[in-house]
Amino acid sequence: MKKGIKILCFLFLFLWIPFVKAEEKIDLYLFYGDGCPHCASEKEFLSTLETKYEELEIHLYEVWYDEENQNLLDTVKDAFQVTEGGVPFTVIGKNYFIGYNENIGYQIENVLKNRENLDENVVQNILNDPNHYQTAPPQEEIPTETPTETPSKEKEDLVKVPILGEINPKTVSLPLLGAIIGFVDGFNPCAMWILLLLISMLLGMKNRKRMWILGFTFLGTSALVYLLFMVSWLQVAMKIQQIMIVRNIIALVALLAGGINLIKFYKEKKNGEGCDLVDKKKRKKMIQKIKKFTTEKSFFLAMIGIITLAVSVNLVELACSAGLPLLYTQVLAMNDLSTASYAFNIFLYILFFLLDDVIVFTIAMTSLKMTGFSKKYGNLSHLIGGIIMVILGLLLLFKPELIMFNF
Amino acid sequence: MKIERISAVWCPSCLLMRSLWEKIEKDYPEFTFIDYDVDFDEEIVETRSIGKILPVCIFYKDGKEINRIVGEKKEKELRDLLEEYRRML
Repeated sequence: MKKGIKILCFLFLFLWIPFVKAEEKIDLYLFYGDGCPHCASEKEFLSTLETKYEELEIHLYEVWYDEENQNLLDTVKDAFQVTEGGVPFTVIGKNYFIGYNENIGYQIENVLKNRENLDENVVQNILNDPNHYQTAPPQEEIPTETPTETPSKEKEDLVKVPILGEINPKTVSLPLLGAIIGFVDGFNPCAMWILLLLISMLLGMKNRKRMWILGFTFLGTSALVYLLFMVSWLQVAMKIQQIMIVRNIIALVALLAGGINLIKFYKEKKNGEGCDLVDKKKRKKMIQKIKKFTTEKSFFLAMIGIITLAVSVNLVELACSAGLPLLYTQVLAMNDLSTASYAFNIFLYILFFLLDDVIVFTIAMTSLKMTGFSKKYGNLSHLIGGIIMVILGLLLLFKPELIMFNF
Repeated sequence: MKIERISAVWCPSCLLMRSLWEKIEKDYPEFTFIDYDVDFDEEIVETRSIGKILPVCIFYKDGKEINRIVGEKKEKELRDLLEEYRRML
């Protein structure tokens, strides 16, 4: 009899366990934005997972147009102590994923397969009580290890480049784009005439050390103005990039600026290569300003003068060439990067932007003779800059996922 | 024959043309070369109606303007032109 009861209990357990297993649902919370291409890809991926894992229950929260959902996402991120922005943002139990790509898809499935860290439903806890994690955030227990298969996946992404060896296009795309756009932007003739005017007047100075210091102060301040502009725009762009209409406006501005650059290229090609005669009043004013500090006896006052000049000149000249830095900063904002990566990419842009100026200045200071690049390079910058602007503008409008390199 | 070259220190094309002229002018001692700067020889330059593109090069024969070239030019173009005017002397 006892044996019979034992067998019955065993059979009951045997039949009951899988039944219970099937009942254990797994909640997946997807915070997404309407119109976000990576969110659309993840949704597609999740729908395949839904058929594969019956226990999976997907909860969708649109955050770009729904303030309540955005607030919920903010609370969830706070609980995980996540400061980076962006969607899609996926939460399963105590696991969270920012962005979406094949690798993240693999990690999500891995969590479902292995049922890792599902003992606590963070989002449900917050839905029940928004203050639930104010004292004890759950992020410490979240696995951040990369799945074992990842290296081979990353290996697949590598591309062999002569000299450089194997590189991952995803990691080099943004810096490469920054270097190219920065370099093209540097050839913009708007600011070059002022640098040459400054060099010509510095060459008249007797103190060579002072010449170098004043020249590099001008270039350094120009870089700083650019840096401030790009960082400020990045802050704005990161806040408003979720609004589709803003992105579309920037895309249209890029298309317009690109078109203007291409027309300029065509006109200059037709008229022949030469310098546009800068307005007489503007020239006189600039000459007077530069003369003032190159003849200034006090080094301190001369420094103040050149810094003021560089700030005012670059603020005005930014209007002439803002299209490219604006566009590049927008592309950066669309890629969720770490603060260090943002800083690195902006630094690289400015470095290449200043490259031609530094070359012209250094040659002039060492040879005490002025040199200039042919106007055809300036004109070429209109062509390349115009093409880049048009391409990025079109991508922003129709295929934004193609410029989200890091997802 | 007189050749006037009008340029500006802030104009990269003028700097390029200046070094080109420096290279070839010694081969043409029969020509008189005069340089004007748009900012520092303002009064003279204003009488030359130079338009909106720099540099400008004006060729005079017997005090009369016979030709002007505007913008960047190649060394061969300049040499061909100077050879042509040399034959006219």
